[in-house]
Amino acid sequence: MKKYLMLLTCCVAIGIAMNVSLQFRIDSDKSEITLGNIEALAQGESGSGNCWFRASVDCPYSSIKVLYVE
Amino acid sequence: MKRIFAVVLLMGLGFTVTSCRTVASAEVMVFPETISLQGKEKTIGDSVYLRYPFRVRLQDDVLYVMDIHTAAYYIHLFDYKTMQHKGSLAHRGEAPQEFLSTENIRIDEQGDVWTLDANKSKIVHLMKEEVEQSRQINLDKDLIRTLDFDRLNDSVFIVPDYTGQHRITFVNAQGDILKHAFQIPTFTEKQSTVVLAQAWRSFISYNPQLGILGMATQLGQVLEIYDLKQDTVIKIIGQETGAPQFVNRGGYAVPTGIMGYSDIHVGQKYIYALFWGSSFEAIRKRPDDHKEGGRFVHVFDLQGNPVRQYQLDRHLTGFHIDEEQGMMIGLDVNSNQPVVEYVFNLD
Repeated sequence: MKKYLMLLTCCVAIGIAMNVSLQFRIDSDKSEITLGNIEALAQGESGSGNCWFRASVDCPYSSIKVLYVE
Repeated sequence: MKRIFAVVLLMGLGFTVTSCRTVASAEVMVFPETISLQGKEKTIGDSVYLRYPFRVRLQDDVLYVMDIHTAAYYIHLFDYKTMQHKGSLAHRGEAPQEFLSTENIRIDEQGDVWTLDANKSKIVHLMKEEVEQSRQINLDKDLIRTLDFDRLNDSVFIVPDYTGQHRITFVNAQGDILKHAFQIPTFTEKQSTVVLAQAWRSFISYNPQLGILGMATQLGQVLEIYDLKQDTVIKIIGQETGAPQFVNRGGYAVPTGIMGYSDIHVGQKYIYALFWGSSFEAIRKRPDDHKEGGRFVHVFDLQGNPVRQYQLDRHLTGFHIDEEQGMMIGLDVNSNQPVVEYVFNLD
């Protein structure tokens, strides 16, 4: 029983570690994209948020069309 | 030992739950059939570079393409048979006759071309020769950021806007408000009407013969059909399941759901709407992998019943539908040759 519990605990711990690692990679990728395209901040800044990249969504903070709003 | 196991198991469950992300559903409508369509590129010469073509119209073999992120002219004219560039309209700039934006192209029965400059709050009758002065209609000051328009008749325009007090407004040829109609079909309460109007920003199309107005949400999957002759609502499709998702951030609507529709056409038999279905979460995570545009054309009958959907071989941002000929011209902003022609079967 103890062996079984140990094995299960190890599996869960590995799972958590993999999850954290994957999340870290996703966030890291995202920040690279964000930093790499800092000029893409599409002049839609306000105290509330930002608008990114030129596209077709109307930035609520300004009069330009953008890819997404944060 | 058991305690350690319990703690680790709870942590595992916690991580599992928090790492689950909501996926925007694009399956709020069921169509009886799906038909795949293959497009044929129409090659434009090097004379014109289109940055973000968003609207296209065909009238008497002249193709009008509107580029919303242009450096010079917003609208370009091509001979549709040869794709030779014939001219350009609506020069970008701050001078009185110039444009800060264009939202759509409308062509009236006389073949005259109209556009809307949301940033200058003007509807403009464009002259095909640059030497002629365009006719400008200043929209009523009570309208906030009018983002689309269509013609009700020779002297009245239909416009949605950001006031959010009403769904649409009718303005006369001087730009004055004549009357308002309908309400934003939301179940959301306790939100400012301006925020709601931003979230429910919709594209419109009016069929003057039938008196039917179609509205399609850009930030959700709702299609509204109104009978303007009877002043009645025909149908609201996707009102609950497809309502635009957003958060109110400092009095602004920040979209959090999906890119829904980007163009709509009310024909004589059917209503056509160009659907994207991309989630903003996915776009934010991978903006470089994202393809702009929709690969689905949703077709409804005039009562709002789903008829079929066309699945396209590329992503389109805008379309022109010729229902009589069974032909669609689309704009693929991801390609260097954005003009694409599709043929669909008539029934």
